[in-house]
Amino acid sequence: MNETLRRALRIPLNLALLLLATLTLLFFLVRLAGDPALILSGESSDPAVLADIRRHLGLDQPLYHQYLIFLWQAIQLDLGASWVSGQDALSLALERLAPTLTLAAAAIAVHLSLSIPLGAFLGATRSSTGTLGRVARSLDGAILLAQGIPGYVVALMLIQWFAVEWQIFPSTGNDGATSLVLPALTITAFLAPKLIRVLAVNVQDALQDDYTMMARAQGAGETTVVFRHALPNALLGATALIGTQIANLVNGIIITETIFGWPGMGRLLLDSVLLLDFPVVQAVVLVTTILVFMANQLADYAIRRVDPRIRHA
Amino acid sequence: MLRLERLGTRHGIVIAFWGYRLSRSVVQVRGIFMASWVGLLLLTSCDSNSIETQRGASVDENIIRIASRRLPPGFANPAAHTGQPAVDIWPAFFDALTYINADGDVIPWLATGWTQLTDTRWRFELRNNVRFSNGEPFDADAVALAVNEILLGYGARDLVRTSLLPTVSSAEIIDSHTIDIVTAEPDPLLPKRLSQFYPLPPRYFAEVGPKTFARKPIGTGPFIVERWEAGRVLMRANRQSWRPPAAAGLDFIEIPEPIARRQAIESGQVQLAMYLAPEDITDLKQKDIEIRQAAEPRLRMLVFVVREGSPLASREVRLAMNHAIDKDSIVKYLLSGAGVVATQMGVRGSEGFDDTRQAIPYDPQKARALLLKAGYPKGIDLEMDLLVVTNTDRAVFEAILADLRDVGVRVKVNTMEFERWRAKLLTGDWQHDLFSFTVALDPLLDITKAWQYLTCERPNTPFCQPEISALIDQRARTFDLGERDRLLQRAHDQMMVDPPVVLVHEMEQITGYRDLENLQVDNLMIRWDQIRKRTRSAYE
Amino acid sequence: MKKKLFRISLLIMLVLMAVSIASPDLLEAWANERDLAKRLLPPLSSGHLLGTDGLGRDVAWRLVVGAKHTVGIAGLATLISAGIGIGLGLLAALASSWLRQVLDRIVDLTIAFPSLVLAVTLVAVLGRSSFTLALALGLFSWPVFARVTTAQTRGIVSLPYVQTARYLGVSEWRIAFSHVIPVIAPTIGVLTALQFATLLISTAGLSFLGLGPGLGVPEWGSMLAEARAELNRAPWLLIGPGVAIAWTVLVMNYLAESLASRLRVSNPHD
Repeated sequence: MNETLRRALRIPLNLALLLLATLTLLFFLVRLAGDPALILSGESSDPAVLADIRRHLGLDQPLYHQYLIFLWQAIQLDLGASWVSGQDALSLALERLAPTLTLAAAAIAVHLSLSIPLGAFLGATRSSTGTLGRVARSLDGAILLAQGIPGYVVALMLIQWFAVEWQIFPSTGNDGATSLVLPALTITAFLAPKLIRVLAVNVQDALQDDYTMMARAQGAGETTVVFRHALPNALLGATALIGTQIANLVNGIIITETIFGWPGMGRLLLDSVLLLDFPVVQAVVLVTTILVFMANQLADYAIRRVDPRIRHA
Repeated sequence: MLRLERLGTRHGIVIAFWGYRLSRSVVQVRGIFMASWVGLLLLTSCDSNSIETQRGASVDENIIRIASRRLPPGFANPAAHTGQPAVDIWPAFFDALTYINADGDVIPWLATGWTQLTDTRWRFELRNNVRFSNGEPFDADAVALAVNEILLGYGARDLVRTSLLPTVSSAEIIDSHTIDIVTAEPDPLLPKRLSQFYPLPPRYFAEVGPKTFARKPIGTGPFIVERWEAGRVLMRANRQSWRPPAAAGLDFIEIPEPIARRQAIESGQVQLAMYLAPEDITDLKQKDIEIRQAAEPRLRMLVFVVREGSPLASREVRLAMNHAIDKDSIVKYLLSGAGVVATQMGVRGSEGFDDTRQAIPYDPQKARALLLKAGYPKGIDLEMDLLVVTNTDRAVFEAILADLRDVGVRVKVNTMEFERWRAKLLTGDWQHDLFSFTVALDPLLDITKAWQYLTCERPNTPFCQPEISALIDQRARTFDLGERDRLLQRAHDQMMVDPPVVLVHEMEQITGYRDLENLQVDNLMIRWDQIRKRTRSAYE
Repeated sequence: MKKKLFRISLLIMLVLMAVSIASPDLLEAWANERDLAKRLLPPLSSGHLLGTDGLGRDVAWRLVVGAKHTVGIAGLATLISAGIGIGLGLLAALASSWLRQVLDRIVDLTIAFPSLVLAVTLVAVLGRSSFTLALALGLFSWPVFARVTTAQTRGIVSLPYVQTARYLGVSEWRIAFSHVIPVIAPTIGVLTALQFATLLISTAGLSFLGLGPGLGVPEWGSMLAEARAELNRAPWLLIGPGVAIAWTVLVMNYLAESLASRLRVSNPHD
């Protein structure tokens, strides 16, 4: 069989395995958490009511039986009803998908738009003399420091200045394009320092390599050398990192959505976990896992397309 | 505030274009770049249907934006939630049979009058000429449906049973505007309880079923729900209502964190913010945000779980713990004075509240002496189940724990989230020695709400004190006001010398608002029909 | 200059850690000393270098004692993830190809799990404590150790002298211990330092969200959460824990980088 075809077929197989593992893990985690009947019974602790709820949920069946039913329902996209609101868990999760994706897209866009030029600039001018070099080096120091500062700290500072003091951007909610700015900047703060530093190192290395010297010898201007020759190669070395960062966006999104009150899946997850509303937790984890998997696959594919060493291997 | 809300799809296109130009020299990542900018465009433009209309809606000058702590998680299902903050929103579009006003009196609302026919049967006269917002008439059918089907019918499984009407056994229609409500036992508080009971439109409810009703509710109240999404409810004025509102609409935004709520009102994003933290009062006033403080019928306490052989079995130990805590400092410094020290298991304004009663005084020396007397010279070690929700909670409990530690009571804390704590409360399955309990005595303002978890009649009560329990349970069945008061005072006197709990403080509800007028708070419920945006005066 | 700065910081850090671990009771008592009348004092007020927090406790002492908790949890998480990762990595490299495939698949699956998501769920299920947090973090961050270990080990295992040892019947365990581990130790060491830095930020992050050890325990993440509540009135509360985290991370990164160059280790991420 053709190599590409084989690789393509492995994807759904991997996804299926991943989902199976996730569902199993969730099934046991939820059983560990305690008795859902109590949560559903509300204010009544009448044992008859509790028993009735357990029967309704199928909790009186043996464990393996529950597991199989659980899997069977999951395949049919029935992840149960929220224990808090009674609404379909999967619908509740999907309702929040669009805001999270919007935030993710904005964050990636801002992150790359900021990090790539900055990384190139730093790599090119870090070792220069004169004002440019000094500016570059102090920027370098600032970014080094920024790498240690957790994103959530940055978020708090951003809110305090831009939302409360100067009232330029809203501090919470999803009201249109302006609401995106601070959350996107926060996630960028999580990711940018690392990428900038890696790119800077790569660009610096590339600028000392043979082919850039060739380009210079051929009369290319410095900017062209940096952006046309050094940067693409620098990016090659960083594509793995970019891929990992995009796939790990989830973590930053949960924290950011909580701080900014962004009505996305991250916040839904945290809220549901605290409410012990496990059907919704299951739904969100499942959707997130699928998304992260797809992002990983895309990243892998991009790396393979882009890196001539792998492409022609 | 910069008018950046005008940013729309056109601007998005421009930004995407320049982003693309920039990415041209950046060959490899172009794919991701383009994907993310294009994706961003698509998402904001399909999202913008809701964003545009919503933005349009609330940019409408007369719609008031409200930062709420929590919208009912079960959507518009009035049987599912019985306490604040979930119930705050009901009066905006639902009405109850009775209403508790600012003085704590029960006044007619959807019911114009009532008489008690027997110990267990009450007759209610219903208001004429009231319609639900879909045109259905409000009559005895609606009340009967709400009682018989929702509360007593499928409530147990699909919806959550409310504890507010545990005594009701049925409703019987007498004629189109008269209905009898029958209780299982004599219940002197029935009219008060019915202030939390909302009749629903029978035909619409039968047509759409509970789940759809919860998403698109219909009531008799001042507003009609236009859209109910996760974390946001938009509603517009119902001019046909029997009590039409002053505002054109309300936009409730759920912001669970007090800090974020405060930031929302500071930045002008909302005009009303509910449940703010007491420590923020001074700052907010400086920013020209008005503050309304209302005494909440909520008591913070620590409940003793007394078992065989536990040090808490000794009366001296429990008294010592009460003497150990500096409640005045807590109220003064940590609550910025928003609240008072609790003196009895009841709050100001509740039935039988004795304002001459004093709290158990702060006396760490006496506390240590009592522990010594009880036979614990080296102090004791306890474990506590703790529910911490806000930053203020955290600060108060840290202070309490530190005070206890100072007299030799070392408490190990087991923090849990609300649902787990509530499950324990309901089953009485406490494995440790203490648990935190912030009991809300509303809307009845009565000790019975707290006592139902502590009474000896419950199988799993944390601590059974037969004498005190008998007094309070007897009072619950007595109709004579004088007798009720006598019984209650005797119970409180006993609790002073043999405490079942550590009482800490009463709480206050803090609401911040700007550019609004006529904010009326009755018994902690905001009169949504009265509030309106401040009209600009000529010389502003 | 930079080198000296970092060397000094590392020294200070180690001293503080030692102090905080060595005499726990006394220091915890100092860190908990409170005076409600003196809450939220700014830095450099009488006797309080960095000011006081919401309960009148000295911020500087709480940072020092908090180091034990935050660094402790992050350290435990690193140990757990290194333990699992290295163990499985070695197994994958030295075992049969079938086992290697399975382990490879497990690594892929674990990477695909959104780790914070499941860590949050785990903490909610098991209850909040220092150990649960460390466990949750450790359980989801081992793949990078496994991958690096496997890659490096396979490199070594293909060398002639190791092949010879195999033919001679030396058991896999001995090969692992005498040949592989000494050689990969530098790389793993550097990786551990880097991972520790990452896990420190995650620890403080989860604790900030409220999933950490809980009430009264001085921990940098929960100190940040308190700082957030008081940001208007007492912005300095944010600086203490923020700088503490940032500085520890930087020192760890520097340590990793200098170890790497000293031991001539190439970037473990390659």
